[in-house]
Amino acid sequence: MKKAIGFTILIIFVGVGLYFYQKNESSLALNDRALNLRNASIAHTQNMPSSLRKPASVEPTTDVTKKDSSQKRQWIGAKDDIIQSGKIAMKNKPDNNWHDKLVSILSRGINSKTKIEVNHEKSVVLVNGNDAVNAEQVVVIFNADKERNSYRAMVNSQTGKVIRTWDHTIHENTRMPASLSGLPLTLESQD
Amino acid sequence: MKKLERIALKHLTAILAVSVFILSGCVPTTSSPKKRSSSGGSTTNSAASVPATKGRIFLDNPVELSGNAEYPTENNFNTLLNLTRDLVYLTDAQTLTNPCDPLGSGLYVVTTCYNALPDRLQPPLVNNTKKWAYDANGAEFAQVNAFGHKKKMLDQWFSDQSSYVSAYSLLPDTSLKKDSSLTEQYFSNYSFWFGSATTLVTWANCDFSDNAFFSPAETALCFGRDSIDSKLWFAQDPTIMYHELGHGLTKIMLNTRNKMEGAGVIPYSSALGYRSYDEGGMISEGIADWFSFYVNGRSHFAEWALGRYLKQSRPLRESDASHTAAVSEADDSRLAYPDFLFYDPNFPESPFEDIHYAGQIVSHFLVALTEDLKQECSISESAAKKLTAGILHEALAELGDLTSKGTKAGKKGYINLVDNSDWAYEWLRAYNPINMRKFAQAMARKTYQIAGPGNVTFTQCTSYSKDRLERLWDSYGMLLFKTYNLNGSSHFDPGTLGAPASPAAAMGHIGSALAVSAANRLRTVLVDKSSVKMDPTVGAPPAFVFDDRAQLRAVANNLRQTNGVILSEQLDADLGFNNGNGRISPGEFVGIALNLYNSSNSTISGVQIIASDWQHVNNDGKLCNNQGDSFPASEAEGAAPAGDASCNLSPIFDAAGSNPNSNLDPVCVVQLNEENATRWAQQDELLASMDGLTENDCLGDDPKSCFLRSPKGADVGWMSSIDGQKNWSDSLPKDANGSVNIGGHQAVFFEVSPWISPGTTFLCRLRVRFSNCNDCYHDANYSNDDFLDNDYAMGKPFKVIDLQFTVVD
Repeated sequence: MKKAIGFTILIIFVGVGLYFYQKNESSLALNDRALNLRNASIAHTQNMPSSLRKPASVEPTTDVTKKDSSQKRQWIGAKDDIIQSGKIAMKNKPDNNWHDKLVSILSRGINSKTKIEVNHEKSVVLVNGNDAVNAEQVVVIFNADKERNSYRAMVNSQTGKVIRTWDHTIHENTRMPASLSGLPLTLESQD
Repeated sequence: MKKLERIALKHLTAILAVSVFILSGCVPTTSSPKKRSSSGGSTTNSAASVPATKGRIFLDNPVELSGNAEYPTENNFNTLLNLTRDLVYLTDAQTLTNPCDPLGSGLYVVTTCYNALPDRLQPPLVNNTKKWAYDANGAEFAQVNAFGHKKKMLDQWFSDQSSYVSAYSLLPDTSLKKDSSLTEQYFSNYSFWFGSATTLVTWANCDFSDNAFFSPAETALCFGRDSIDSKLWFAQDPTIMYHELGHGLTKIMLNTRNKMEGAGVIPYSSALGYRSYDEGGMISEGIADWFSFYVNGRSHFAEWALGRYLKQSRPLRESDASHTAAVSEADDSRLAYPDFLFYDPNFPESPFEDIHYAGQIVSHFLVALTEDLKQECSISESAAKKLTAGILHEALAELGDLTSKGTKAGKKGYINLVDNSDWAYEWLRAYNPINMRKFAQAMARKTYQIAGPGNVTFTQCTSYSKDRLERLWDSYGMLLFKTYNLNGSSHFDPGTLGAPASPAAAMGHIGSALAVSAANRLRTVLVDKSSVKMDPTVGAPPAFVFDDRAQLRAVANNLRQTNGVILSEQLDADLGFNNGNGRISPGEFVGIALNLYNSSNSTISGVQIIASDWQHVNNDGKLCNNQGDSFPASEAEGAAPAGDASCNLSPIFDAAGSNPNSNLDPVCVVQLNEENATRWAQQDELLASMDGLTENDCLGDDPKSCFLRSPKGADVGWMSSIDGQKNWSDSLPKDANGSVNIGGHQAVFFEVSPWISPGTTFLCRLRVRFSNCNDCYHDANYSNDDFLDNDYAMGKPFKVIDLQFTVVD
C-alpha cells in the first residue's frame, strides 16, 4: 500500500509539473502568433493598393485569411475561391438587436394567441462570390392553439430579415387552409 | 491506512445515499400501474414480470391485435399483450434513451441518438430498475411503446443500410461504385443520422388532437391523441410511428450527400414538398407509408390511430381488402397515376385532393417494386426490402444533392445546377423541383444500375430486366421519362468546368442517356405542353383572384408559419387594403389562380405554375420575345432586337455559382406610357420615372420587382390535375354540395405596392409545366435527353403563359 501511495504522489507531482510547463509553452506560442499576425498586418497595410483604402462610408472589406480568432462565426460558401481572391466585401454588420428585430418581423399581423419562439443555433458568414453576409441560424417555432409549426431560418445579423427557411414541419394532418373563394379577374382588371 | 480507507468508504457511501435521495426527490419515479375498470383480462404487465433492460410493447396496433375495427378504448389494453412474445430489449439506461452504433463497431456512435418523452419540455420517465413494463392503458406505456418501435425500425434500418453500404464499399472505384450516391464518408461524417450529437426526440403524449408530425427543425416526432376519444393515443399504434419515423429517414436520405460534404458545408436541407399540396409532398407521404410495410410487411397501416374514428387509414397494396373492386395487382388495374390522385379508399365516392391519398400511388408502387425484386431476384422478402431501401436511398440522395454532383463520380451540375447551396436550393424548391417525373426517372435509373442490367458487379441482384422495370413503372402510369438520363444534366464542359463550346459539348449531353423502350409505354400518357392554355371559352376569365381580407390573412399566416413566407413591410400588417372585390388593388396581398385549360384528350397532372425570376430579359433590360410567348411583339413595344445574343442561352451560372442572379429577372413587367406610345419594361424603369419614390419604398430589395412581386415560398402553385378538354376548376373533385375546394396551393401570390398608381398595367410571364409533359423535360434536339439544368432558367422547358391586368382602386 505504501508503494501505491508513493507512486500516486509521484504521478501528481509529474502532472502538476507538466501542466505548468505546457502553460508556459502556450503563452510563448501565443505571443509568437500574435507577433507574427501583427507583422503580417503591418506588411499587408503597407502593400495595400490605394484603391483599397476606402473611406469609412464605403462597405468594409475583410481579409478572410486573417480572420479574428475571437470570431466564432462559421464561414459558409466557396471559401477557397475567396481566399484566393484575397478580399471580400461584408454586406452588413452584426447588430445585437437582430433577435428582437426578427421577432418583430415574424409577429407582423400574426394572431395574438400564437406564441413565437426563436432559438439561436449558430452565427455564420454566408459567402457568395466576393460578397459576404453575417447571418444567424435559428429555429423558429410557432405555438398556436391547436397546432405547432417550426423551421430553421437564416437571418440577416443586422436587419433581422429572413434570408431563407428550411426544415419545415411535416404534419400527418395537413390542416390545409380554409377553402378560398375567388372571383374572376374582371374585365376592368384586364387590359 | 485501513482506517483512512474506511473513512473514505463511509464518505463515499454517504455521498451516494444523499445523491440517491436528492435524485429520487427531483425526478419522477416509476409509477405503479393505474388500476382501471376493464372489460376482461387482468393487469399483468408489471415490473415484476420483466427482467432489467426489457419491457413489453404491442406487436401491432389494437385493431390488428384484437381483430376488431372498432376496438373500444374502455377495454383493458393489457389483454392485447402476449407476455412472452412481446417482451423485448429496450435500453440499459434509466430513461428511455439509446445510442446508435450503425456499424456495431464502436467507431461512429451517436451517444444520445433517440429517446422518448411524454411531451415537449417535460421530464423523461425515470425507471431506476430498468424494468419497462407498464399498464398498457396508461401514458407511460405509450412512451415505452413509441420508444420500442422506434428502436425496432432503426435497428432494421441501420442493419440494412450498413450491409448495403458495406457491400458497395467493397467494389472497385471503376465499377458501379462511381454511380453510387454514397461514399466512404457516409459513416465518418455521420450522414446516417441527423448529426453526430443530435437526438431524435419522440413526444409520445403530445398535446395535439388528430395529428402526428415530424419536426425536422427540432428533430422531433409528435404523437397526439384522438379528438373524439382522448383515450386513443397515436403512440399506441406502431404503424403510424413507422410512418412518421419514415419522414425522418427520408430527410436523412435526401441529405446524405449534403452531410457527406462535412458538417456545416451545406447550410440548408433538401425536402420533399413546399406547399400544402405538391408532388414532392405526395411522394414524401407515399415513402413514409411504405416504411410501415418495410417493418411489418402488412398491406395496411394506421387502422387504430387514423382508422378507428377518423376513417383515414390507408392501404399499401392493391390486394388489400379495403380497395374497391376495380383495383387489383393486374397490370391494367394498379393504382395508377394520375387516375387515382383523388382516391380515398375509405370513401371512394368522395374524391379528395390531399397529399396523403395521392401518395398511395407511390406507396403501392414501392410495395410492388419490393415484391417484384423478391420474385425476379429470387431473394427473401427482407432482402428485397433492403434492396428497395437501398435504391430509394440512392435516388433520394442524388435528388436532394445540394452539392450538385449527384453521384460519387458526378461533377458540378450533374443535378441541381451548381455547387452553390443558395442556387441549388432554389432549383430544388422552385425551378426544377422533385415531381413524379423526376422521382420516377431517378428511381428507375438507380434500379437499373443496382438490380438491373446496368449492374455487372454488384451481386445483390443482376437479373431484373430493363423491360420488366419499365413495364412496372408503366403499370402505375409513371413511365413518364423517355431516357434514364444516365449522363446527368450538367451544362459545363467536362474538362474545364466552364462554358462548353456548344450545348452539345456539355456534360449533360455527352454519352448515352439510355432510351426507354416506347413499346413499354402502354398506360402512361405523355401530353404536349402546347395543350395547356388559358381557357378559350368565350367569356371565360384568364384567372381567378383571391383578395378577401380575412381569407388572405389566414393564407399569409399559414404561409408564414408553414413555409417561412414573410410579406413586405410596405403592406399593411393586417392587410387593411385587401377589399375582396376580385380586383387587383394597391396595397393588397392577392392570390391568382390561372384559369388553365387542357385542350388534349388526356389528363395532365402535377401542373406547376412558377412565378419565380427567370431569364427573359437581355443585357440591356429589353424583353426577350423568343421564349415561346412571342412577347413583346416588336422592339417598339419593348422587345430586344431580333437575334440578340443575350436572349439565347449561354451558361448563366459559372462553376462556382457566383453572382448568377444578374441573369434572372422578376416575372412581372409593366407598361410605360411614353408620349404617343406604350412600351413594356421592367419595374425599375417605372420607379425611375416616379418623383419622390426611392428604392426604399419598394416591396423588397430588387427595384425590378418594386411594385408587384411574388414572395419566395408563395411563388409556385400546384394543380393536381386537369382533365382532357376541361378547365382547371371543372377538374377539381366536388363535395356533396357540388362545390369545389380551392386550396391556397393552387394559386401563386403577389404583393401589390401601395405606391402603385391605379390604372397601371402589368404583365406577368408565368411559366407552366406538368409531370406527364412530353416536351417539358425531353430536349428533342438531343434525342430526347433531359434538358440541361440551366435550361430551367429559361422558357423552353415550359409553356409561358402571360397574364395581363390593370391595377384598379
